[in-house]
Amino acid sequence: MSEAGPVLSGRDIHFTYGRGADTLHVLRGASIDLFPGGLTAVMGPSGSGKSTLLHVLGLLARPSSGTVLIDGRDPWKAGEAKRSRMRNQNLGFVFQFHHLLEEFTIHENVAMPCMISGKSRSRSMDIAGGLLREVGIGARGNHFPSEVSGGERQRAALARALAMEPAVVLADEPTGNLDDEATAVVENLMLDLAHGRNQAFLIATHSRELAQRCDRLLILDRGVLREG
Amino acid sequence: MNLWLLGSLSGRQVVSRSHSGFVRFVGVLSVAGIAIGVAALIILRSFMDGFTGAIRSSLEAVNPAVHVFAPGGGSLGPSDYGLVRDLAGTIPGTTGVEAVLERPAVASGAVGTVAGVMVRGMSGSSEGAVLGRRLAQSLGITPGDTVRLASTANVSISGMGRVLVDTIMPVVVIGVTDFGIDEYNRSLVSTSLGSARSLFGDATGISSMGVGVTPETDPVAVSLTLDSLLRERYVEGGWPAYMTAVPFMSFHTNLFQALGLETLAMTIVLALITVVALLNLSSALTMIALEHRWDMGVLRAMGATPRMVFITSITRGLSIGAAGVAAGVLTAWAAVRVVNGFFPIRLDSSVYWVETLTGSFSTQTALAASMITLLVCLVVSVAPALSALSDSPSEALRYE
Repeated sequence: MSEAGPVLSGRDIHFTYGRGADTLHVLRGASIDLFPGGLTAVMGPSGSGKSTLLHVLGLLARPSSGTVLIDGRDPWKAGEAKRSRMRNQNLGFVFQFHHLLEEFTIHENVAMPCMISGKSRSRSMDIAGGLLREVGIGARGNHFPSEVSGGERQRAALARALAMEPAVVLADEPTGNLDDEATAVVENLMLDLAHGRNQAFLIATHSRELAQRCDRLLILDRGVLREG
Repeated sequence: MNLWLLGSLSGRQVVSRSHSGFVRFVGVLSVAGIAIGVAALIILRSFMDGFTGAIRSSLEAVNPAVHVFAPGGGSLGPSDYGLVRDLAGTIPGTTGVEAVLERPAVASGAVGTVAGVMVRGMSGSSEGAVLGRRLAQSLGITPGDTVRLASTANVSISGMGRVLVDTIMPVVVIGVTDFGIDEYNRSLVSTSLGSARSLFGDATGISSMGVGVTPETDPVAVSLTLDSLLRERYVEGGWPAYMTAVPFMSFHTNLFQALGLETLAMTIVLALITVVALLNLSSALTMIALEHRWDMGVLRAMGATPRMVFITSITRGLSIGAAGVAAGVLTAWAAVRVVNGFFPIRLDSSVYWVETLTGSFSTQTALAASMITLLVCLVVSVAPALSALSDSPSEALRYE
């Protein structure tokens, strides 16, 4: 465990969908600490709440109860604009289906978080260009997402997640939609980046191979996280 | 928010290839609907304004802007003329005063031709007569010919019951012209004040006076000032008021009010077309917002604030509106030019006074139609923009 404090913490998180008799308790007191440079894998069967956990930790959904802390601060005590800024500056997301915007080139997609933060287009594009080279697709920047392979799209999504140099990257089954070769490339890339950049990675995955290469494995079981 | 990102997000999502064909079709329909509505409005206003303007300018070209006459049609004299000239000279924007003697007469040209005419003698006109184009045609007269004018002055009945007219005056035609208004072209004979007085056997008579004004001067203001000066001069001096000043266009108030009412009614009908197009825009924006629900979730995950998402959605609506407005204005401008230049619309001048319907493209009208349409686009875009905000980022990302 790192000597520095956690960059992201979840304490006794509960999350429910629906109301009354239809209430579905997805998270029932999940707690987690993420430290700089640490890779944490979360495993669990489909429907166990892995994506919901990432959404709650990523401030995309409000927990029914419990606390999320980013650098010791509770973002849900701040307004929506401030919470959006925290998301922009502290958190990066990688989704299973890349979610690149189809109307923008790979280069523009990667530059988007920087532009959202208010950086100029040229500065944002410079940052994005460096990241694209780092993830090995510098030559594909001018292509649109529909013009590159699934592995390249996911590498672009990874570069986009890193654009603002966030303290935490949340990856929701990042290789779940890739073939073996692309899976290996993306997995290696994530492991190298996490250690090289001293960022915390939380990866929800069904892949035991990937989970075993991470520093820590957690199992989401009946809404509660336990060491795997 | 980065302006390039704002413009690109809203602009590219409108024409996105990732849309379903139906949404693209509805988007194109929205642009086309707005364009047709805006173009129809501007074209209507261009031709109605052109028609009204043609009648107005033709009337103004032939008639002085302000008329001074005696209520009840009483005759005026040289001293009245001198007084009006002095008073009008004190009002800024006036260019001069002319004495006018205008009465009906009978004209004859080539053998066997005769026509009822209105003879107008003016103090500023040259000797000889200027005839309206159609009148000259019906009398078989060209410049240099002589037209015989007969007035009803000194008409008597002989013992045999014959009408005896001893005021038949030959006048040399010095010009045949297009007065712009068919009624004038068919009946007006313009001559000098002296010739008119001889014809009507009235050595000093004046039926009215015309006060000219500069193009930038408001004739209504001049007539009000002059009328007040005349009233001051007579009524407050203990004399009965017998001269009054009125703007010439007030003689045609009913015509211009009727034209204005017709234009307003047609504008309302055509504005409804634009309203229908704008309702279509609302549904197109809702569909585009649904298709980009995921994207909005991704943008929120990247740190876009609800305000950014809202502004992006509004800008999307305005982009479609602006495209429609631009196409509409361009279409209207081109249509007016093409019709004026290549396909002039001929009118029956005996009914409509002017022979050609000329469009007059007004930048002011185009600007007003564009601004109002864009304003309504803005209002119409609010509901789809709010619906884009109704999802939490998590719900938007889970949308399929």
